[in-house]
Amino acid sequence: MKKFLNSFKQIVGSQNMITDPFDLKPLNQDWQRFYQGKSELAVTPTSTKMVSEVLQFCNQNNIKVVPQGGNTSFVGGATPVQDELILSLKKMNNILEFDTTTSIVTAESGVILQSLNDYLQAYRYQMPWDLGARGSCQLGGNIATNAGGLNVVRNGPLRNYVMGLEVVLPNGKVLNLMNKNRKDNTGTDLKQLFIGSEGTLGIITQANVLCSPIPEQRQVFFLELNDFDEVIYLLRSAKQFEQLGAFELMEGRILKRCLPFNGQLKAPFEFKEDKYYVLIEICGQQIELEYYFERLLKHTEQIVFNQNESELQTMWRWRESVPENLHKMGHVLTYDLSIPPDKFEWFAEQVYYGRKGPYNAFYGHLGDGNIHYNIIFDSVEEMHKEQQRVEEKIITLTKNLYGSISAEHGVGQLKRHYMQVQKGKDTFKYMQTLKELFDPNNILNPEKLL
Amino acid sequence: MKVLVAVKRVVDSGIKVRVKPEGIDLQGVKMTINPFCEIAVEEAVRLKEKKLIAEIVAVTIGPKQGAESLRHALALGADKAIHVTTEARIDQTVQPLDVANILAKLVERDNYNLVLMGKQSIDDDFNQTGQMVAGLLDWPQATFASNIQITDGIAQVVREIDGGLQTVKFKLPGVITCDLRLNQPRFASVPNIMKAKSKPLETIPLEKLGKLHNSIQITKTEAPSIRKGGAIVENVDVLLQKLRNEAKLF
Repeated sequence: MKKFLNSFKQIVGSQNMITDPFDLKPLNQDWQRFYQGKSELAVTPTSTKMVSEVLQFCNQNNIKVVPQGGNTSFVGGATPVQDELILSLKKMNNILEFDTTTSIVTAESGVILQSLNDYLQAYRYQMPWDLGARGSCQLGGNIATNAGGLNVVRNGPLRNYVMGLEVVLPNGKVLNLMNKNRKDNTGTDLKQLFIGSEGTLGIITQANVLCSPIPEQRQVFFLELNDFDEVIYLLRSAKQFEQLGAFELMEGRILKRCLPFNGQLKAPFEFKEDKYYVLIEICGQQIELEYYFERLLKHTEQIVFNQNESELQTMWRWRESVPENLHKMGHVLTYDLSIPPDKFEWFAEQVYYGRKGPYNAFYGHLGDGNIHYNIIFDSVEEMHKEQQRVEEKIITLTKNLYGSISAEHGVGQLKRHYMQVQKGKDTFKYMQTLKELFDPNNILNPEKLL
Repeated sequence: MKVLVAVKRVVDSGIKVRVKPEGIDLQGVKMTINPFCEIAVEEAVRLKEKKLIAEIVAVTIGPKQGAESLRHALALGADKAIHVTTEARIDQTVQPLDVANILAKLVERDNYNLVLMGKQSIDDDFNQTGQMVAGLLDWPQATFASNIQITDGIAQVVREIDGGLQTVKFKLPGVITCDLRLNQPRFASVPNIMKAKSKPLETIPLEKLGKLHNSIQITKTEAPSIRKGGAIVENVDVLLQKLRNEAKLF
């Protein structure tokens, strides 16, 4: 990389280059500290033109590039595998406009999700997707991953809300797919290729996103259920609620273990290992509490609900603190899968009969059939010993259920080697063909996804 | 033993308030029970669970939506509620001395052994009402309670004061105002809020118990000035220059 430093200086300017190993350290490492890259240079372009010139140069000189947004990937998708150039979008953080009639926002891909929400709040709108990493993750990364999150059960996938994109292709060409029309049936929708492509086909520099109105009211219920069948029965009822905003499941065994890490946070229940806890959010205009009381009481008497904003945040905090607390509990193998929702308990039983063995628990967006299944080990050695057997078991089980080995987190480095099995030979071949079409020199995010 | 718990309905502290020249904009704004009043209700419920008191009566002063705070108190475990109705702005026009007089009247009417209240409300932060109630009734008081013990009609209260903690003891009846660390109020459960509907709720127009003198006039309401970003200076000389020329400190 050293021989190219001067060329990059010409293209981006030294103020947009990071070479100090101390500053590169957080960019070389994912937030879970599973992956360690060895990049010696990161560039922080400030315009699409600069991104284009960087990629053109890299393509001509066979320099591998890792596009990086908020670096919040769960699968090592945003950090270098070797010493690839890191191309950070963080300085491209302008919100360009918001059309109050169409409710479409136009922004650069380096804008942080929370910043978009702060901006939109004045117009009583919000981004249609929401996830725990909202304070760090960026628009481009969200789109490149087709991020899931908490609102999918209400709004549907991120894909539904991206109206347009500006993408810089690996050869430096700027592909203008920007669009502010709600409807456009003029042939193949190329932008769909880039959504979820995890930075392997092009770098997203701008987007048009259809925003959602901020719900007038939000009400959260936290329920305790005795067994998994009751949970599914509740899910079926909840899916009939027009105002359903979120449906999240947490096993009692996981919440109980979160207690020591959450300090003074007010617990909705005395969490019990053998119970199941569900967070239901209702949002909309004119929430008629009695309507929900009546219907929820048919399932259980163990229901609490928030009386104010602070209690609402507290209830959500119990759900959102699970991923970070998991890692404090020991060494965790974590899997993000899509399987039929009524099979979550069965699935866990298949991996560890009677739920015995190392501590294992699941939580997740039950409303979307998205399970986060976790196994917690006391030592790294134990974890490595079990990893292969468990992973193969999980992948096989998922395949047999016609599920997905990655519901929302993407593939990155972590699940690459399962892609052929997951997709099947033909589909995989077409995906490779597209990759070769857009990136013949394989410079963009190599050793990821495929 | 009978306890009167006074609760005030205030703007939810979790939301951003809008400031208008005549005061805080209450139009369509989420309201909830004052956090310190909620702590008072929770404490009353815990004392009842310990069988130290037999009956909890919650009271609020305000418009008809004020009944929601009473229902919340009933759902947490209060037995009865009293709604003193008025259309006056409870964050401005309904003021401590008038409230204290009304509460004192209710105490005399119903014979309570203990009055529990929040130390102050988060809208006006007066921190006077509990003290005034005790004064009007000529009762002992303990304010900023972080711990309450009741044994054989004697209340022992640990108070949070600037220098640390002070423990006082007095013979009931008396007034205790509650501070943050006294307890963490429980979540209201759906079955309990349903049960709350059938608990007795008495409505009394304010005029039957007292009067609003409006003796304190609010002359101005303004938002705090927007915090400007700080700056990192290179050396002490630049610091001194900025302190003199920009901050105008000397």
